[in-house]
Amino acid sequence: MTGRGNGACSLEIPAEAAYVATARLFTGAVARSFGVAEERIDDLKLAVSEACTVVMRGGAGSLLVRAQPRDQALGFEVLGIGAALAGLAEEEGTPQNFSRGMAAEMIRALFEDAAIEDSDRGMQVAFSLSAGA
Amino acid sequence: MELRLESRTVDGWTVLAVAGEVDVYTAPKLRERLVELISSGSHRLVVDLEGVDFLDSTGLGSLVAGLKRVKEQNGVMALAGARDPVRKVLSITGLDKVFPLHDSVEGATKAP
Repeated sequence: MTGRGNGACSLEIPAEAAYVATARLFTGAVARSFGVAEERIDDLKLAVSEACTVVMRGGAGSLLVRAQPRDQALGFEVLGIGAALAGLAEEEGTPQNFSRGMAAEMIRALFEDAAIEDSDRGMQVAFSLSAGA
Repeated sequence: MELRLESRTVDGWTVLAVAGEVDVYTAPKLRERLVELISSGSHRLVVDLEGVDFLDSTGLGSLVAGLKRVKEQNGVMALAGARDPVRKVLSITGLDKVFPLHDSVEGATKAP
């Protein structure tokens, strides 16, 4: 985990399911340090968890979770870094792309400005919490 | 992170108590247990979520997979004891209208 003088914090974790809980712990700790209300911390943790799932399914080798204070908002990003040796398989018995599609919709339902991009650099999910929300 | 699963029988219902966090890492364990219970003949299921601190879309996927399987056996699967964060996830996805939801296991097992 690294911090910067501008108040930004980031956490890099292997793109493995077992580490998504670590991303949620990081998110909760950062959000509390910025005085975010507990109910919204639950939303942030959910969104980061979903974002990690979305980015992992894009085939990243590791995940970068970044929190950045901005004007009147706290922004979060989850970025995929590198390539995984093996993709995260869809669960057997669930409709195709059910989880991936639902994860993306969940993030959008929680944060109106959520953006999910899949580019040559990898998958990226970004959203922000407005001050006072 | 540990997910605890315990099953018991109450009034002809199989109650699966779930405790911990259900996410991309632990959801497969939940799905596996639901499939196991349904395959072994438990077609009246209550999933007790009172001990669940966190549940995301992968957890929902496991619950939906269980519901699908139990319906194939003309059975029923209800959710009980979901706390506010879990209820919110169910509400966002509309799955609160798909699963029978009860405040308690007792309410679920005694529902008409």
